[in-house]
Amino acid sequence: MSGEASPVDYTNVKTAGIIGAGVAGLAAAKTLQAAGVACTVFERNDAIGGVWTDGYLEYGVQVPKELYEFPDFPLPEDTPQFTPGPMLQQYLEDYADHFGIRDCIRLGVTVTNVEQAPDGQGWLVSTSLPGGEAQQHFDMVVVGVGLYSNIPHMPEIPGQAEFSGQVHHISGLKSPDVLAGRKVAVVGFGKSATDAALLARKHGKASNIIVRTLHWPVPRNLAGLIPFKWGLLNRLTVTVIPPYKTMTALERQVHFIGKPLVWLFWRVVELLLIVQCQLWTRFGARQSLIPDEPVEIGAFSEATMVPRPEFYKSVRSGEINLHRGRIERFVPDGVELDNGSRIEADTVVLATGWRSDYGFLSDELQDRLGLEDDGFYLYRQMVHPDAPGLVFIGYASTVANILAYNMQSRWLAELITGRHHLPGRDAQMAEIANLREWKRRWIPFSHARAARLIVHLQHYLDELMGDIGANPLRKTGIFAPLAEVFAPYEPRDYRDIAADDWVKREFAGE
Amino acid sequence: MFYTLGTLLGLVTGIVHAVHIIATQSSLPGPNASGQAFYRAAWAIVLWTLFGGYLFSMWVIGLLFRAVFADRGNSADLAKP
Repeated sequence: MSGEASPVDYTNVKTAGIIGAGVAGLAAAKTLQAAGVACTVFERNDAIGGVWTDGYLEYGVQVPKELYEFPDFPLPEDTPQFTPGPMLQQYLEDYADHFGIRDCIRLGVTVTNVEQAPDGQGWLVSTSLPGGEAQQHFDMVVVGVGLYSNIPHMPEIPGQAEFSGQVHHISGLKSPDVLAGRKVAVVGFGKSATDAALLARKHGKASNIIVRTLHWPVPRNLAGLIPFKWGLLNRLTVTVIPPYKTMTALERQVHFIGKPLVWLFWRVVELLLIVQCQLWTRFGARQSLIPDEPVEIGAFSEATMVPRPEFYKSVRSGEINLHRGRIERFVPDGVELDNGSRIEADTVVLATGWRSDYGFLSDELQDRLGLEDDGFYLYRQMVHPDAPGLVFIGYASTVANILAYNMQSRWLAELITGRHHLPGRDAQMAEIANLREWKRRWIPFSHARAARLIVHLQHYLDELMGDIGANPLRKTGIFAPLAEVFAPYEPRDYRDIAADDWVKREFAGE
Repeated sequence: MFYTLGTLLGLVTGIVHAVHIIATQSSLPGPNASGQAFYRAAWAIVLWTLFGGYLFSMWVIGLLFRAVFADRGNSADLAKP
């Protein structure tokens, strides 16, 4: 496969196998089904919802509810501002019922292998279920398993056999009994780690959190007043973050002539965060809570987090003891860090995240997709020219994932209806190389760096809108020009695009 | 003086930005695209003029501070290997 080969004709797609019935899989099934594609969704759990089917104690969404809902199916009005996990899982069930996609979902079925059909036409999906194994042919396969599975990432720490206490992954933290009356050490500094430390403070005898790298927090309300979406998700902020792989003329000038202003802007942001969260708080050997990375780079690292407001208060008051370092080994009564200090603990909670699970893609296929340490680099985060008909929906980490996955699904549906076409192989490969080079130049390493877009979601959505011929400027009303610059972009701004009759809505009045 | 100079600079920038908006947004999909583009362009001139003085002042302050404290540079430079 070389040269400017003709790309696969997606307009011939009549059937699709979708792997995963989480947010991405559901959005894909709803949108593709409406576009006339017969879908079969394979879900290994016994319930709809993917990572939301089951979580740790008091788990929930870390962004406000208006950022984490389907554009065309708003959350119920009585939903709390930060949607609790079980409520979100029910919402996903309701979504499946509302759009009539439940019938195409096969629960309790694990996909074991995905391979291209021998004649190169379509894909074969092998599944295992209690009754045995099966194989099914589809014109297209949509991988909708997202970035992380339910499989815990458990770092190997020496000396665990000597440890007299208990070791849990955060996903095993289902009941307060696990922590009751115990001296707890939590490992990690993402959202789940800060949640676990707060739970240990509430239920345990002592709460410690062991942090290798400090991260900038995103407070729920900036300066305690303004919801963070106003500061992060508008086009003004998106213009001053480290530039996207393609820049508009204005953005080029902002990052050239305006460089001192951009620099000052981010230092002021850091100052505000330091003051609001009192990050100058000292702990350990004269260290503060101020991260090493500049905030505009740190925001794109692996653990972007919106901690519960009481977390930093508890650290300041000493109810949660923060230790900077890496666990060197377990000792009988706790853990020892690489700086030589020892933390007494009888329960260690590993809030170290979850592994991605693409084991159903053969090594040969993973090679074809160019899998490296930092993930898959795909054209538009979705397709690779060397695996035509294999599409990833949900392989993007953003500030509003449901919105991103809905718009990816719309883009795919319009590829099938023939509204837009993929460029040739060389053009796609050049774009993939450009994406890889851009991300590796400045985004901190993580195993999911290829998927990270975070606040660049806005630029990504603009690209998708451009491809399908929709207007990327979604704000309406008399103050639209003002809102376009200063107001946050939310799923509801894309409601018309998510609707099945979006073309009619978009061009009404023309 | 900064403010007056900044306002004038803002006005000029606003006009340049307005021309750019009309050139790029008149052909966007959807109804009345060129009317929308002119409307947005007018807003661009107003906003740049209003905030020009403030932005220019901040630009100068940023330039001075960056020269003194730029051990924590901005944007992409820091993460380069």
